[in-house]
Amino acid sequence: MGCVTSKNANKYTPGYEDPVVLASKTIFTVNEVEALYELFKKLSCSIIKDGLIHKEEFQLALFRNSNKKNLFADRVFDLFDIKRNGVIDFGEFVRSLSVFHPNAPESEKIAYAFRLYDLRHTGFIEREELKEMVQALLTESDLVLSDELIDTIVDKTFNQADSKGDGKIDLDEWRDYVKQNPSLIRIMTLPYLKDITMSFPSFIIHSENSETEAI
Amino acid sequence: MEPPGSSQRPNVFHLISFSEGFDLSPLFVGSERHEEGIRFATREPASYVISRVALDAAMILLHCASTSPMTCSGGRFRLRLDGEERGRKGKLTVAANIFTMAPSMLVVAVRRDGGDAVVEYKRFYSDELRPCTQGHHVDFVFRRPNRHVDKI
Repeated sequence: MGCVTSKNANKYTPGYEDPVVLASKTIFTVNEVEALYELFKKLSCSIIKDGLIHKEEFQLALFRNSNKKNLFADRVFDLFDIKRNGVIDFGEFVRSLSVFHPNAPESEKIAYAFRLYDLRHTGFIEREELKEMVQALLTESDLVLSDELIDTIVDKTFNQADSKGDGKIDLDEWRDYVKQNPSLIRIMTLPYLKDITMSFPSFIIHSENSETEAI
Repeated sequence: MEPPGSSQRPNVFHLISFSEGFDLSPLFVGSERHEEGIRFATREPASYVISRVALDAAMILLHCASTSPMTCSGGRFRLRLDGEERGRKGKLTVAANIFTMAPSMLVVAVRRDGGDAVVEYKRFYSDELRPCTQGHHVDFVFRRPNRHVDKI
């Protein structure tokens, strides 16, 4: 199966969904979904030319290094991979990016961030998960702090967020915590999504019959 | 009731949010990672420059936090310093990331970004950087791991 080029638009990538359907289910317009398809084709054929985004292709796109491991990129990839089959198809790509649009509802962003931080999918953010994320960030930044100090700063934040004091942060506590610290969900907004049709122009001409011609 | 916005206490979720893994902008703008940064060559000792920049960054961020706590999201500043002389392995380049943990608490991460690790960076670290931290109220000292910097 070769890779999809824009000259071959009647052969779509696996998991392709009609832009009209995706536009109705997400915050994007039909034109924006088509623009995202141009981006998706590029990303999904960078290493393994099967029209699906693999982890290495995701890492290549984010870090210019297909082998660079990063806990947080792994979490994003996992959440984009809605069907949990190890790859990101076009439908998953659009549905996931929708939450990152500046106009997406804040409640969606808050819930998504919660799932990102819930490393082991328990439905809670546990203290160990928070500590693991802090350690990952420190390693990424080439910082070494003593274990006692890491515990101290993790405890400070955790105790603030865990208002019920039951040793874990649930979604309600997380919502309250974000209300007090709105900058915590800044990672959930990508301003670039507003100009996507300009960054990735699509030259698809729609016609009434089933064959779609591309320039 | 605490005022909304930047918490006065260190917030590790805020720190975590600075990870490169969460920054999806390279998907859209190609290989350019969009971030504020400063890059320049200087004759001043690197330690002086880093401490000045850290101080300026702190002042800016403190001001931001006090005037608009709702919108201020703290910051992460990147700083790169290129050594003047070409050393054994090219110019010694030092990169620093400055994070805000809290308005009154900055974390400055310094690492070698190019050039010789064995002699020149060690000298920079012991002669310039370490003494720099002793002039200020430093609660903890960062131990630099011995680490290969892999280039793509």
